Amino acid sequence: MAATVIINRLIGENATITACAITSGSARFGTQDTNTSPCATRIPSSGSNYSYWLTTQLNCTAAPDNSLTNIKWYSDGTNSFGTGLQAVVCPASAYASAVGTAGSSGCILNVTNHTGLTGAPSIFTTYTSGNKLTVAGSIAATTGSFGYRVVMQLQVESTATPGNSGEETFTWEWDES
Amino acid sequence: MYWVAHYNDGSQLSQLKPDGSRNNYNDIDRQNLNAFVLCRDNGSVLAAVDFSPDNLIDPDIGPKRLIWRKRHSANSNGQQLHIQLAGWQRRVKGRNIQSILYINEETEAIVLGGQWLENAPMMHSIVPLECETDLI
Repeated sequence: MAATVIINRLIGENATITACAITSGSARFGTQDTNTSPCATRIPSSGSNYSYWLTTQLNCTAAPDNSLTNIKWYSDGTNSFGTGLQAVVCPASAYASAVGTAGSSGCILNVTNHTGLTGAPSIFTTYTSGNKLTVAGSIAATTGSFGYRVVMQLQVESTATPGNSGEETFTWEWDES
Repeated sequence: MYWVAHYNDGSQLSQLKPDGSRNNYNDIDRQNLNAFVLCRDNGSVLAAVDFSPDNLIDPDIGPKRLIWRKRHSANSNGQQLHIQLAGWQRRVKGRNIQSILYINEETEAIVLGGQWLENAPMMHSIVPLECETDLI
């Protein structure tokens, strides 16, 4: 039987991480560490506010015969969130629960606030099908979460407009043997 | 879809065993490979890669080395794509060159690809396995 892999969103405190499978339209940026209908990120009068960072990871639910390797992540290359909205992304070797002020702003995603990041986050549109983000890690013939996490955050500028943002689609890729 | 490795002595190793269990890609005797065949679930042949000895006597051209993977993608909208990679890599004048079939599992569309390019959406390199150390 071929391996089965799902995309999980990770929420919760470090000791009690909850994995929520991402299906169409079910992952939202907000200012709560929750997978459904989180508090909105407040539009600042000046400067930037941030969503709580959003952590995703692959989870193998039916094992491959041999391994899953060569993990990649990418966007469609176009920012469709809307005016005054931008997202950044970075792999992380470890999980860190998202923090901030609910209903206002999350803590900025950087290596100081999230010590598991592999470096400074990049604008998400940097990574496309022709320039994929390489995500470290693999899994052998077993089940479970595998590979580094991919962490994203939405940045909200004063020029943003109230209401739901546009939607974006992110893609994971991996090789099975 | 499953693979069948055909050997030079006429024997073969099928990914699917008669009892429903599976042989591992690692179990393929890569030194004695004659053909690598991808079959549909009903047993009919979808594609095959030739590995019969080419008897090249050129020190600058190495033997063909099997490459097989299933390349999956899944997006946040729940859409998935599954591509089988089947082909070979060989060293020519110190460079690795590839010839790989890319087979869409759903549509059975087949594309023959050449040299891997790291910025190619689909036709980019694999991570070699332990049984593939001769690919490095």
